[in-house]
Amino acid sequence: MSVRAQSVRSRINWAAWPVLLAVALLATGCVSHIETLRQAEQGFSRAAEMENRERYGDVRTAGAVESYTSAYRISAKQLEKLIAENSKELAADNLLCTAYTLHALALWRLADREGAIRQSKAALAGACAAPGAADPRSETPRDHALLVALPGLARIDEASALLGQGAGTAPPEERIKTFRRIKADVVDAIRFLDDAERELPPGHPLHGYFALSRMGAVRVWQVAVVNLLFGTDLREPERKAAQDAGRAAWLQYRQVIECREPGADDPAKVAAGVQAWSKALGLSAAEVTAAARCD
Amino acid sequence: MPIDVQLIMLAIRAAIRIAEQARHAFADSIRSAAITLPLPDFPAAPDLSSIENFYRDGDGKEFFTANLRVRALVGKVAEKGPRALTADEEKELNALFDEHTLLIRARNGQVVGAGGAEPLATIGLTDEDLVVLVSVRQWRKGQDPNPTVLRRVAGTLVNIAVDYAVSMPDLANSSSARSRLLREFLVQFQNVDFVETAPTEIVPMMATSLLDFMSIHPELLVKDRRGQVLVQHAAGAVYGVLNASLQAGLTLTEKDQRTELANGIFRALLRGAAGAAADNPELFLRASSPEEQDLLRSVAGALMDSLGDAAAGDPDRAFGSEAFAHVAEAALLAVGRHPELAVKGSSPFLTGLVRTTAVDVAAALAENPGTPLEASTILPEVLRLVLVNTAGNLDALAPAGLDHPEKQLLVVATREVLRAVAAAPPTGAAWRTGFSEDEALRIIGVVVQEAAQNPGWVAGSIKDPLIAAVVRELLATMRRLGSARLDSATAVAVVESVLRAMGRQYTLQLKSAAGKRYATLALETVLGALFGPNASAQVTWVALRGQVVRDIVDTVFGVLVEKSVNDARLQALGAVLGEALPLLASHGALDMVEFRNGIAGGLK
Repeated sequence: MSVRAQSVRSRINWAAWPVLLAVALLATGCVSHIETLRQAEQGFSRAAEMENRERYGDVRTAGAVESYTSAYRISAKQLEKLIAENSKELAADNLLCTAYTLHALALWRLADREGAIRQSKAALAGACAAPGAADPRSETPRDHALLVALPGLARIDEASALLGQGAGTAPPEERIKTFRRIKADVVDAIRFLDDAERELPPGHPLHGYFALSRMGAVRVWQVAVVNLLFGTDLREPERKAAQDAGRAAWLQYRQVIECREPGADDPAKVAAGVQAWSKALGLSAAEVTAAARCD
Repeated sequence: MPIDVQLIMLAIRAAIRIAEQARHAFADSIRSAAITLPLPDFPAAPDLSSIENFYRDGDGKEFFTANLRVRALVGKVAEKGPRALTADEEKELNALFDEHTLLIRARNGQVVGAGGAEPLATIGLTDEDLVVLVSVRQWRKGQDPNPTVLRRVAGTLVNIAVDYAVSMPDLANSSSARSRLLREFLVQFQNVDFVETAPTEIVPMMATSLLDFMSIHPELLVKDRRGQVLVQHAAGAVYGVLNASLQAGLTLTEKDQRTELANGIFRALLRGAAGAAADNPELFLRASSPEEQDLLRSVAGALMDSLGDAAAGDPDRAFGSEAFAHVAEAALLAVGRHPELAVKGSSPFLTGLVRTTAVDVAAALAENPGTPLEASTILPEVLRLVLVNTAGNLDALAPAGLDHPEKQLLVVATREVLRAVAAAPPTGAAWRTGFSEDEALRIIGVVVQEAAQNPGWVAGSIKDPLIAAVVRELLATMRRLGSARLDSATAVAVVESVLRAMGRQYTLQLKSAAGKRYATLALETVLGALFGPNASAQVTWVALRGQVVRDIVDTVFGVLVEKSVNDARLQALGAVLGEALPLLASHGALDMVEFRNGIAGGLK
């Protein structure tokens, strides 16, 4: 590009320089807020990719946690400054909701759950209108649904963190108390995810992400039953309830990934995903073989 | 300067409009771009809860009833918690779970991995979950209010156009030829249904190449409607080829390299097609020709498939843009003359031909590590020669048919000749000078042209064609008998002269009773008379001027063309040269007319 630019400029008559200057100012001067958002968006995506791989992939990488945490932090700082200084310009370009959403998500991943929820509420109250409320071109269905779901996502994290407490040798009353807090978080999380899904049009790719998150929430519940309710009367009914919730979540997941656009996915990979989750949730293979209905 | 004012005002108005549109397009692209979402924290891998559910409510119920050990271990977890299990007990339970899960899967006819059960601890989320499901666009496919690729890359395209608008002001005028050309290019992408993985970045790259081309060669393509169609077809063809080549499993770097290569091919096609169209308008730019896009796609596909590795993603860097354009032009000419080379949508023969030539050239040079010949310089011209000369003689030069490009006779001959030219001189050789790239290419050019004119040169043997054997013999003769001060350009001229003579006189390729070819024997006789131990110092002195050697060889072989060769005439040649050369050299220079008459008279 630079060689080309040089060759172009060498052919420019001196009289055309004012034009070039005007063009340069007009073309670049008013898009710096968009460029900053683009950088923040890309930085956030890279951090998320790294974190997902580190947490759920097969390989662990030294220093990965520090890397993605740092990338989230940079992204959050950029977005905070951008929203504070350029919210008017962002709103004019229909980008304010995206900026709020990325900021809230970054705060969530930095464990500032309250800050994230506060940001999502503020956005839903202002910049991020519900679909159908305004000009379709200004709508951001993904961002809106993510903001609705975000308190639920934060609750899954919270429940996961609680799993580590009260296990093992704690007295049954204490373990039951911890379990109830976890279950309340999980149930709330699923409710938030359900609410968010209702905001989405059918077939939206975010359904897949919500399905994964819902199964994740149920897995926290299942593990909490085993870790915390042993030797109590609550254990068996809670195990069954978690199992039922797991089946429902898994069926939703299967529905989503088997009914995506034809040709979008490799059938073998889809089958592997369905099978891996049925194993993790302890579900029947008979349910695996019955095909999803995509009508 | 009214024109400047007009230009400036126009550009300012355009800039305002363009910058505004660019901003909107840029914003749209950010809003609609896919982002990767982090997943909340949860235990993904199967664990004791998975195992218990499997045995109590899932498919493992039968084992829970029948297997006391399973029942005991699961019961222990339920009563006393997961920490009650010893490490060995937990390992045992995991193994039982894996085994029973596999058994159930196998019974249900599900695929069971060759490695058996997946180790419990390593199962996390699948790639499908980690890559596909968490990468989420703003809108569902087809629901994006700004879904087209042109909109997605509009910001970049407009910025590029703004940059160029200064040097090409008529771009702003919708009725100008350049503007129409650019429009035709963009129209190609108007209705493409771009999926998420489509290589959208190629469009701005190609737009830049097109604008560059228009600014440097305003006379080509811009002239009329036919140029617009060609640009449209070339863009579509390159996009199609790139899309097809971006199969799953490529790394990001490999994808980038292919995209760069595709843009290089687009540039080469523009230049090559413009050049070919100027020379052969009857073959190109038929605006109504439905085959044109197939032709372009075929050539683009052949270059992409066969040169991808050699070019490492950047044909300009590997071959130089001029050379690459020549290859494209040659390929277009070949396919233009022989449409059967271009099978609809792709061309296995053409691809194979280009690939085989590239591989053979690289291999021939690799066999001779000391050679100064560079594949990057040699290959484009060799390809051009092969492609151009193939076009006129397809049946004769591809006797094995279009399914076997590796048996194309010119390719085989070229490889063998290049091997001989690149070879280091044997130990004890009198003449040791190597060939430059230009000289090597000149020899190959003569070989290919001779063979194309007379396929008999290459038709006899698929492994070692006659013409390659002859070149080898001629070079060996010069190595053995040439003077240390014989220059390589003269050697090339000698080879050229002898080959052309052999093409016209059949008996020169025959062998004597002693098993040596007459042409080789004739050259031996000439070199012996000029540089041999019996040559006079006067003759050798004069013969050190390269032009003298060339003239003598031309004359001798010119006479031999007129007369058939046999043992007696060769013997006579030695005698005539032995007498004529010292006599002529004594004058300080050779009178070639007198010399020719002497030779002709002596060979009666």
